[in-house]
Amino acid sequence: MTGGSMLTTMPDQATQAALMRDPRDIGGPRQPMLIAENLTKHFTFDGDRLGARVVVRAVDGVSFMVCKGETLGIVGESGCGKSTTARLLVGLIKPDTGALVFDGEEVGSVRGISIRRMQRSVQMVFQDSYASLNPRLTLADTVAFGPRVSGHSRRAARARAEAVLALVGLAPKLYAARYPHELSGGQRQRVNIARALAMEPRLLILDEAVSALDKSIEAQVLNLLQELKARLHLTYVFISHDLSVVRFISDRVMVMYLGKTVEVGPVEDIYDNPRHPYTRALLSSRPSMNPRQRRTEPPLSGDPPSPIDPPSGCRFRTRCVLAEPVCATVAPPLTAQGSAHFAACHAATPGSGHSAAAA
Amino acid sequence: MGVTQMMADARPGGISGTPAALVEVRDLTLRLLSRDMDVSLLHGVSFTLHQGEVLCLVGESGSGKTVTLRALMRLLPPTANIGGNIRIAGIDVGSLTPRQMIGIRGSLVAMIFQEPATALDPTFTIGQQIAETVRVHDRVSHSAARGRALELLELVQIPSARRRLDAYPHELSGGLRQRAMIALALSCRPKLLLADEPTTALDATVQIQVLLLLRRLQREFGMAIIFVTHDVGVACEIADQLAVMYAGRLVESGPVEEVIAAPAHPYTAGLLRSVVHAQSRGTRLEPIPGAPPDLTALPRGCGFAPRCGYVRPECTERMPELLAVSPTRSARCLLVTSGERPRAPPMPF
Amino acid sequence: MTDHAVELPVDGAPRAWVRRPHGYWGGVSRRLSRDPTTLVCALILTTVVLAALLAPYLDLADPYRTSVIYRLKPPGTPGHLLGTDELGRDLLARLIYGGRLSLLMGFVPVLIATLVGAVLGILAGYFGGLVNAAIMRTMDVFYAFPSILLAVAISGVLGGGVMNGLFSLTLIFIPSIARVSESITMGVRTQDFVDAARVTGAYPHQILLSHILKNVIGQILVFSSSLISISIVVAAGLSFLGLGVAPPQAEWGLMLSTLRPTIYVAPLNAILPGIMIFITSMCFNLMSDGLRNAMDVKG
Repeated sequence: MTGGSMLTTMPDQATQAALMRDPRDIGGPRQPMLIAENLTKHFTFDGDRLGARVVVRAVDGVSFMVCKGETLGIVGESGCGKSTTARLLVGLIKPDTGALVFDGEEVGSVRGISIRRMQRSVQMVFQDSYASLNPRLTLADTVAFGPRVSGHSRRAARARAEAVLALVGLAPKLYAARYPHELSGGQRQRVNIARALAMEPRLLILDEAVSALDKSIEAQVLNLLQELKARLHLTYVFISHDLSVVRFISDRVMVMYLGKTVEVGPVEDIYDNPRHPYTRALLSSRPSMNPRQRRTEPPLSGDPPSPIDPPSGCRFRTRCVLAEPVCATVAPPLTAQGSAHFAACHAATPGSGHSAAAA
Repeated sequence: MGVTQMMADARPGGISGTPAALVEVRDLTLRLLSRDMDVSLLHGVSFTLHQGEVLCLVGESGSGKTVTLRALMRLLPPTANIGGNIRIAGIDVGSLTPRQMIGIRGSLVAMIFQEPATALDPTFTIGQQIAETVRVHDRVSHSAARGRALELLELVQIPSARRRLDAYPHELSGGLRQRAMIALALSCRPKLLLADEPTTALDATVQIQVLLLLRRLQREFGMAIIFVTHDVGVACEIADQLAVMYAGRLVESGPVEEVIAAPAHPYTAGLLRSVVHAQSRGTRLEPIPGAPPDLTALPRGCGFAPRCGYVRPECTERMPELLAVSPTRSARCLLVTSGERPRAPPMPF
Repeated sequence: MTDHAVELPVDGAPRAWVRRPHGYWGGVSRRLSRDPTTLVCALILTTVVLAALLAPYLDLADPYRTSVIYRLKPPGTPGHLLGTDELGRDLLARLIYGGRLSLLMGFVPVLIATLVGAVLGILAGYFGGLVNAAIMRTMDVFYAFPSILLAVAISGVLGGGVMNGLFSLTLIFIPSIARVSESITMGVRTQDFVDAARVTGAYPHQILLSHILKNVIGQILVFSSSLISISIVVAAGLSFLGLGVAPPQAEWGLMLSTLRPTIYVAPLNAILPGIMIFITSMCFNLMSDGLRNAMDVKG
């Protein structure tokens, strides 16, 4: 295994018991539900000048684990690679290098399970948009599509679709025959969730699932997600740019910047004691809810650079207040900051050569 | 008569010198009438804004906050019927001809949008766009306009401004495009800046930069800003006055610290309670039940009544008036008459 | 759990939109039925088509019966409502019978070309990569030729006649339909709901049939319907040049050709086939515009 985020937390008693009963469980409670090893994905485009090809290094060597029954939050800004990571996790894109291990079995290899098999247990909830639901299908048809392709009969698929619509709070009698354009944003998002749940997944990837909703609706959907997780014994990977929401819903948090993991750890450690300068800047960029205590200086200047030509060494050094020569030459590895808390920063790594680091 | 003449005559202070409001909106109504639909988006919105003040219009989808802003600049589709009275710097905006309207856009009132990509012309460099606006309004030479464009880009803290003058919008990142749009809006020194969710599409670290920039520019220029947002946190960072809208009406207004600390309208209280923050972890969130209303089928009486935890029989009979909670605050709720306040969330002060 | 009950009835009465939901096509046909242009064109076309279909049952003169005496009689002659042609045949009957072939040669090539071209284009658009390259570059070869010249060339090589005319007309429409289908499919393919369908592990044919097809078929049909008018004109052109229908069959283009020498002698008779071509293709064109406008609304 990589020397990255090595962590196993035992799920709580109730989840453990539920996991023992799940006939699909292979690895047992200590086996992480998902291990991502050194995922890399570059996109190549033809450049605008003759002969120049542009390589977008969207995800560059990212490793992490998701334990059974937990919620892993992934935060970052545009260009950090979290959306690409989501699509890698769910099999929509194949990584250039790296591997995915689901419940102990490698995905896509001859010895392990196929992507299609994995997709029976891993599903994705998309961000609400007009394009997230097929405008020409009724809600029931949209939700029943998954069970149909899994081999259920038309009737069984339809029954499952109605059951799952009821589960997310949309009464089938009223909603099954409706079309997406007749729904509000919050309702559409519930359908997105239902569609994912219809496949009876064990792991749900939520890619900006609440970002497009009004705040009051967002709170409703977050409550729903928490309830569903408890009731159905799910594991979540929650991807968002909204730090407050991630704090609310996650057990552990991973911070990404320009295709790399910069910090990962239990949620309270990350929020109360961030060890990476980018995490600190991100946390202090949140608008304060107190009009009497307004920010006077922005914690970070400039825009996030594009992943086309990332800086050498540490990718954050161009905007970092602590940058030193060693940051340009050596890429900092993820080092332990406490039990289960890791950060990729020379200033927080003993013996790195950075003036702020311990010798 | 020419708009310049009108503006020269119309000083916010008026002839007698008492500080009159920069923006006075009375009973603004808006109806969209077309072959397929007939819906009222605004039902009598009134507010006042003084020189140098920042007003935040806060609301969710369907509240009417965006169309209120657009009505001030008359940037609405032809199917829109506007009623009521809008005065900016004493000029009655509703009575202006389209030509006069073009005259005040940019010079008296300017607007910045959520998506700079759609507001900036992709076929011209940002330097060209700013210079053209300057020349049209101030009638100066090419080189003087270009010089002014450079000044503006430096003012909005675009690095390597001289080089960026010749950049096309698509060559800039999101944050820089937004700054370029602000530069374009400020090019003719407007007295009033209308901001339609300009930071919603930006990353957190860029959003705070743009907010602070707007605050600084507002102080330097003495501009008034009307800032539309759905994010209460953003309002806390930038607003002097807060106005909460729901279903096409103003339901609460007042100084931002007072409204946040002790909201008078149940919707405002519910909105503040819906905000997810540190203490929420491990608890069940308390969202406002139900969903934003269907504007084509508004209930009789208070628009918020179906979702309100403090609803009484009188609420569904008549729409409450905007009642004074204090000399500086008002709320459209019957709770005000009985002196009660809705339960406010514990703010992390 | 109250916050899951997103349906909150107001004053106990159900909300306004709890009515029988209508699908997308319901909305389209409703908007179509309110557009005056579309209605008028539909009326005209229905008349023409019905007349063509029911020709044998109508009380018409024999379109093949010639007469030496009653040649080039003007419209309004008793017994011949629209006059007679250069061989004394009744023009009204010739026009109606001619409509059968003209409409056939307008409609059938477009129908077959749509079936073939749409399949090719959708496959190219969905799969991309090598499949796309193989299909679209082949289309490009045909696309490089001006369509009328291509039709003339193919008919010239194969010889005249209705079947060869249908074949060459079908061939010239396939590339453009394939192109349009490809670009529409590529637009639909990037939307999130397609990704969501892929995540369920569905096979491409399942995604194509259940998700993609419904979203592209409408726009493809709009494009195809605009080709019907072109097909009618090109078919008439082929017959005019002697490459399509052969005499003594009645077809509008052929009639234009044979009546051409008489234009100074009996102008009214000579232009009648042209008027029919014009009206029919114009109506198809306007209806396809109307269809596009009716479909242009989000839900």
